[in-house]
Amino acid sequence: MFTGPIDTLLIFSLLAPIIYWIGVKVNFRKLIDYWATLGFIIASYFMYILYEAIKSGKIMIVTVANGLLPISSIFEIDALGIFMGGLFVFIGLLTSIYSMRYMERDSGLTEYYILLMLMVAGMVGVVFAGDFFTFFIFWEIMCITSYVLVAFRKAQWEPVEAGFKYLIMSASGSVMVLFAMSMLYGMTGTLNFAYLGSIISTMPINYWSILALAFMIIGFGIKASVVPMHSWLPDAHPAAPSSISAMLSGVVIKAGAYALIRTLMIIFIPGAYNWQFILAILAVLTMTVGNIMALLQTDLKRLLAFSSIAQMGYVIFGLSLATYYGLTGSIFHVMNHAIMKSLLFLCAGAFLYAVESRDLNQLAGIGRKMKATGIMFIVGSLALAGIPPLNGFQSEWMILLAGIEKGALQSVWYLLSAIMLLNILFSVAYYLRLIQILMLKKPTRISNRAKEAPLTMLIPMGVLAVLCIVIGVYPGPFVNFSSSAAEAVVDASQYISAIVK
Amino acid sequence: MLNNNLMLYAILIPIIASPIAFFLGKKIGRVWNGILSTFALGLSTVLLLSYWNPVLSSGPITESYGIWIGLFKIDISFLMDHLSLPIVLLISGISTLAALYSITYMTHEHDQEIYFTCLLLFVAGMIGVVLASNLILFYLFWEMMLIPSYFLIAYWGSGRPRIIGFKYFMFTHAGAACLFFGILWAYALGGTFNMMQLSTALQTAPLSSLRWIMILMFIGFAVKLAIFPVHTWLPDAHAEAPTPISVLLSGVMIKCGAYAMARITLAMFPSTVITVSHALLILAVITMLWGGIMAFAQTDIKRLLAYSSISQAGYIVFGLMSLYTLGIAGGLFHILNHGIAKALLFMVAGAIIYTTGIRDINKLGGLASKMPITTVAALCGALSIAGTPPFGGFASEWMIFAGAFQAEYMLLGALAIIATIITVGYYLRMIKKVFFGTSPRSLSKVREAPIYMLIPLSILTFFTIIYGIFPLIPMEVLYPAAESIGKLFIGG
Repeated sequence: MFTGPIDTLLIFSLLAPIIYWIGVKVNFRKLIDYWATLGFIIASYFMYILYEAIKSGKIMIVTVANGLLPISSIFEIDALGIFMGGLFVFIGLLTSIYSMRYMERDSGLTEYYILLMLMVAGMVGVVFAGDFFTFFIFWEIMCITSYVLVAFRKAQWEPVEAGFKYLIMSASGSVMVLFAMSMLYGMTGTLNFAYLGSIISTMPINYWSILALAFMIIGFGIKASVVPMHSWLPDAHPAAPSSISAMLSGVVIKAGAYALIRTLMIIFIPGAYNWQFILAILAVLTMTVGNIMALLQTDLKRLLAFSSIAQMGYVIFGLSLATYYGLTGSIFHVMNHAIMKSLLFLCAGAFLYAVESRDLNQLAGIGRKMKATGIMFIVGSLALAGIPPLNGFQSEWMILLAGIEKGALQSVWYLLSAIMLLNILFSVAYYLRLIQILMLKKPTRISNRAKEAPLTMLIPMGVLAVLCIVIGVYPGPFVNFSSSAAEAVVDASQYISAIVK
Repeated sequence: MLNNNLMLYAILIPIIASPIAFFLGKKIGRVWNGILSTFALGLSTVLLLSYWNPVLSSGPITESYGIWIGLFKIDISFLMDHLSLPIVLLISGISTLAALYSITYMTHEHDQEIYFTCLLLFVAGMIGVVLASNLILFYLFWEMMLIPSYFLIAYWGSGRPRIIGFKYFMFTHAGAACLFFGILWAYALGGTFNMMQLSTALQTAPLSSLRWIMILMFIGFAVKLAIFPVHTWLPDAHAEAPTPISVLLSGVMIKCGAYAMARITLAMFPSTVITVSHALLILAVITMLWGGIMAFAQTDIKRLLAYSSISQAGYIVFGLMSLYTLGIAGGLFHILNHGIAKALLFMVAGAIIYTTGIRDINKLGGLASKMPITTVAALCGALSIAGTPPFGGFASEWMIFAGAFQAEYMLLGALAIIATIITVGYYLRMIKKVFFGTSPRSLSKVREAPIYMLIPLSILTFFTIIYGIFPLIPMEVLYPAAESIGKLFIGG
């Protein structure tokens, strides 16, 4: 009904309690873990089929609920949607493999996997949606499941507090999006992206559309942790179980970035609304604040969370250029950051699993005891620092290049690009500090106890670390995929003409 | 007939050998690991050496391996010409010797398998920098040599390695960021990353932007080469790194900066270099004098050598920025001579530290009778750098000075010659204190360094002499390179 991947995840999560019950009966409690992993594998397979179907630049339209076109609920799947959806399911799969051992000390695993699968289903729905109504339903599925997952370890005060803060901030963001949607509906009588795009771009700019645009940017900006709407993130991401932190930092904030890309490029087209400069200022602010705050942290996961904010700044900066190269870099960076940051959170989780600590002073030298995890951690942090030949570098230089190209037209963009470069340089300092503390220092009493992480945790980390290197050394096909995704939004007419005849 | 994949193999062999060294390292032990690394690097050297005749007879050779990033029309291609051939040979040759040298030197160190892994990657990065023919690939290798060398310094260094490593990393990375901004800016104006096409594509670009690009890139190279205001990372990093790595850092890594200056700053931005060359010459002279004077003040033998490297980097830039063929040829030749001689001197220092455990030259003395081969090697290296005939350094230094006088920089040329006197001074002081005079009683049992250290020492000593007596052998390759760069400036 909702296309293969979403259906699979929904069905698997609905059946999960029964599987759990069977697992208890046959005395094999791990059954539920395998069930979730199986669900993600099948969802990935369906995602691949969808990819094959739209590979050659086609746009697939799936009607969810009947009705005449401007009103009906549909999915409109283009290259960008597949790109993002594939990424979500892939990271979800790795997370669920990782959770097999990582979550073994927790209870309530059935709920955990149901929420995880629902969250991924929600995200996939968000990127497939062809109208705001469908979009918002899946958006809320994603949001509500993520609130609960942040507060999953409800016996401790920290996750509950962080989850509550996240709930309040994110929900107000959702409300703003809802309000903007209602304004758009009032102006045009439709919620369909394509119709909105074709109507809004021909309408004269008025206060209502500007207000709707502002609400959209703020609402999605909260989810994408754009400064100054970021303050929930450094609390929520560290407090969640590490596997969920990897999902949140790796992909959930990317749903916010996706929503910004889609609405800004299709509906409020840059030619008419000129949001580029304002967004660039927000982006530069985001990366600077993220990087400076990350430098001051002593909590490993909190540091990584701030670094996510900084990295979202790069993504938003690429979007704010609104050029083909800029969006290619931006979308490519979404993928790279998802890989790198999930890798680092999973590594942090492995450290946490080994010694039950996130404090850098206690973790010092742990890499010497956990060599495999340590080396993967080095790969991930160097990649995040934008060091070639790793993947972070490849997308960062594309964003920078697009910025400098724009500088040839308006020299203020030279300055903004230079600030981004300085930020990348600045971020190297704390990644290097992380490497030095975790790998090069003498082990402390606590980190001396550490043992290497179990195999099912090492495998997802290994896959991500290898991807970091492979994308860095041989970026060609990945860049092509991202550029076709960028093409799908830069040229809005294709997306619009698939629906508006 | 030449197989047309050899350049890729020359880079790939160390890269492929590095995981082997890592995974097998614990099993096969230090000696075999070292032999494996030496063999891999030696193989690269031989592959690169096979380009000698083809380049001499038929000029530049380009090898292309298809598209790398289609969107930006970047292909994987390497270039071997008169400029890159001698420098890449210097890099791979000295790296081979350094790997051989590491076998004994690293005896008492920990985690040797990671050491050899990093060493191999480091060398692969340096070879790649010199061979790369487009700027993104160039930058990629440029940074690829930074990371392993950072770990080599921060993990096995002496003193306060983590802080020194951090300083090294941040300095060079900041330089690289400037370089990178320049590269991207050049693409924004020229529309290509290919070095060959870019210099023509940039001819129509506005001069003000070009000057910024040139300066940004120059800063990147200058940090690597340790030119005066951005040199402060070098004495720490080169002095505290494990000695075989000091050999590579001082002997060859900073030469990548010099190579890039010739290849990119001079050859791609001739119209803007002319406008700033005078300022850069002054900077070069300051670097020479500063490095020389600071070397005089050192008592730590490796720190002395490190400051001497700064001073010599000044000579190289001085030669290149004279913008006359003779000076450029001298600068390029000095890259080779200084690389060989400084690698030799660091190996000598390593041999002394290995056998005596002392780095302070005031506490050493009278080693000449106990370590005769090392002493001869030290003398040859020191005299070569000081520019004494018949050693290699003499040949290159007089060409540098001749180039400066040809360009009518009389005062600066005279100052440069004065800097040579300083060089002689601090080297003779070092030689006297270390090898002559009375030997402290604690050193009475010192013997000659082990054989794995003496082999590389002897080979390098041989080259310092050969290049002095027969300078035409390297000049045969280098002079056409200098000529083609010099041509860009005549009448400019």
